Amino acid sequence: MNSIHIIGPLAAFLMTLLVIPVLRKIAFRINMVDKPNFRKVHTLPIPLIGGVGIFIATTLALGLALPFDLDILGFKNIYLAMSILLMMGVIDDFFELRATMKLAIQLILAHFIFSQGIKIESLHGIFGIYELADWMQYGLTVVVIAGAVNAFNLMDGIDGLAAGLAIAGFAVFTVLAVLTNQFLLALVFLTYIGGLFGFLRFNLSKSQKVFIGDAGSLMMGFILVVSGIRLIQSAQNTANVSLVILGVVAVMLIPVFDALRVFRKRMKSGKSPFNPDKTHLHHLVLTTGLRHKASSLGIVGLMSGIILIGFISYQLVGLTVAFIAMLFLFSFVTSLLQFHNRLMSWKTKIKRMENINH
Amino acid sequence: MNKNLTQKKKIAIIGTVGVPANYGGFETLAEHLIEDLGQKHDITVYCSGKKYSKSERVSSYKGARLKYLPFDANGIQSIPYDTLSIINALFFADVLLVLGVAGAWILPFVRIFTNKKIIISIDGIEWKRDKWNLLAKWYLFWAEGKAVKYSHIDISDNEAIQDYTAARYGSLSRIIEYGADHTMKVAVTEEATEQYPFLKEQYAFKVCRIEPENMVHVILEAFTKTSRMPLVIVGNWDKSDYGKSLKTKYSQHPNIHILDPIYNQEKLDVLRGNASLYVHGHSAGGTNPSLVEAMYLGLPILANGVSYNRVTTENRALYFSDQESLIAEINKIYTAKLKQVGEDMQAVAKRRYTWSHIAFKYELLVEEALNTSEKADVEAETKNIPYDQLLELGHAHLKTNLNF
Repeated sequence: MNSIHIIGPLAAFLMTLLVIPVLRKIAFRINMVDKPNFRKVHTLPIPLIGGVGIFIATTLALGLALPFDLDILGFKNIYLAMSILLMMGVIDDFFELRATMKLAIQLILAHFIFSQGIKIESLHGIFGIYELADWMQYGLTVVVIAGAVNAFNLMDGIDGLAAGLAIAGFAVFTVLAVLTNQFLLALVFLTYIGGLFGFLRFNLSKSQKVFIGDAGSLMMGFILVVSGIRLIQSAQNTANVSLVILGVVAVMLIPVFDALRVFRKRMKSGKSPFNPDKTHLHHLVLTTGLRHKASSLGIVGLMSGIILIGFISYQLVGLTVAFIAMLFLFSFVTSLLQFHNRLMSWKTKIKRMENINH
Repeated sequence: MNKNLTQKKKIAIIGTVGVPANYGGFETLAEHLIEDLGQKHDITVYCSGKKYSKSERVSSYKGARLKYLPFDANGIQSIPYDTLSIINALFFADVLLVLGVAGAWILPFVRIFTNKKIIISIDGIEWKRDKWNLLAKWYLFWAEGKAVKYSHIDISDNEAIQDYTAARYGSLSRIIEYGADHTMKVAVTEEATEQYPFLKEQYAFKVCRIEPENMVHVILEAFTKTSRMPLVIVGNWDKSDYGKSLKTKYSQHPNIHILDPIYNQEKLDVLRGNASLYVHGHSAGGTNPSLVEAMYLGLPILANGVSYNRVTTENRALYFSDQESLIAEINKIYTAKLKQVGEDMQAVAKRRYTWSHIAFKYELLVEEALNTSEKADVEAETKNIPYDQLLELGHAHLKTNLNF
């Protein structure tokens, strides 16, 4: 490893600071902005170029910091798929693509990733399951990639949340990469963290606000899930494989299980699972009266808590118990928030009943 | 005649500070239940050992048995206080009359494992009040659900609360308010006018806990903007920052007399009973004992127009919703109108808010509880008919009462 590699994360951070203001101006001119509606929390049109900004800045930074012919873990192919997904996201931010169309593209990309040899081959003893049959490897890989990408996309509801979760996820992955002696890969993850921090500077600002956009949240979800699968593969047959699996699952747990929770709830009340409403984790957190930044920080805190409880119970008992403990913590917190949400909605209803005679 | 109605039953009254009553509405209620209900049944009242010193404690009072537990009846300690009272009562009582929901977590077990009859009064919508912290609100919100679900009969003190329990639980809650005929009209003495010169003129009166939910700040501000009559307001000003800041801000204003709490009941009765107008700002929880007492004294009422107060006063008092409407109402006042409202209020109170009437309603509920095992709900019986059959008969709309 060369000392020039170290500048990647810093370069990504600085370049985001340069790139986003330029893209912001362009976005207003070509009308690539998010307009407020009843489900949205903001009241002014906001440029949707965060994802593109991070992509440009991190690509330049990686080009600067990494030997150009180096292909870490099939990195170039992942990059190609990622660029296609980003483009789809940009087009979606412009024209609102049909959901089936988006899903088809995601499935094709997932298939492409599988064909590159990046796949879930084994459950490594979770629930007593080890090596999977070929068709199950294929099915699981495609479903996990498409599912995680969309789940991450759904997390993008309040300021700083998608970026915050991605930063925490990449931080965990950096540790896992170092644990498995893949220092250049760790550097790639750190470079994304640098880009995301640069983006947060705008996302959390009042006067220069930009959103990460579908392009950005899809892209981040994609890098995270594909890197996660690749990390597990690279740790296979090493002593650290359980720890790597634990870390990857912990990172994906909140987006994936929150999406499943919301879908189940919608179907239970007889609605389409994709029918948009205000029941996602961040909506629930907002009903406690926390502001956006604090809510995002709280959810990232919950993620840290999940990682911590997973790690402790893994050390004490084992992988399966660690998964159950992490899921328990997540369900406990969401149940409590739902309970609070019910209390608040009755409060509003009573207020209406009290003042009915005015 | 049903054997249950003739036999003497054992009733435990749980959740009050205790008797003899020195405190709020529930305690006064317990005292009157002892007097009236006690003639037909054996009553046991649980009392807080924290509020009655060793020398004050007696084993029986007006024929009722008293039991003391070493907890406060309010705040966080009300949970062990009510819980242990309920457990103790299981050893002897036929009917548990539980006032307040703090111990309600244990009621599912009582309902499942014993055949005791449970009557619970949910006492306003306690979980909504600003005085509780978040954990307490969560607990009370949850406990209220258990209380309503696992009691044989639940009692609301106000029709507006009944609407709420019907909407949230589908329960047919019974309404029993408070009595007021223990209050007395006291004539103005020369000694009193010396201490309180404003007694010679018309004045508006308010006594309450100094809390934002009682709209104290709105009422004070309104009376600085009218000179129709001065406001005399009694409360615990020094207990909170809210009270302290209001006291500093308004104590010098010529139209406002801010008084500290008056513990001498007779003195308070003089001030209240001779007021020309009673201002009632409470925005939270059910039927307020202080409001029905003022009505019984025949005072003209100017109340916060939330549903609870309108129901209590049968929509015949004067109402305000904010500072502007309060000022407007005060300025519109004329003597004949005040007299009319006062008479109306007294008529309502004499009809509905006497203790013998209230105790009689409790007596009926005790008898009903002894003869019931199912809980009454607001759903129509038709909901039990299978949907297919209803559909065939062309009556599918009867499956729910959401149509109404």
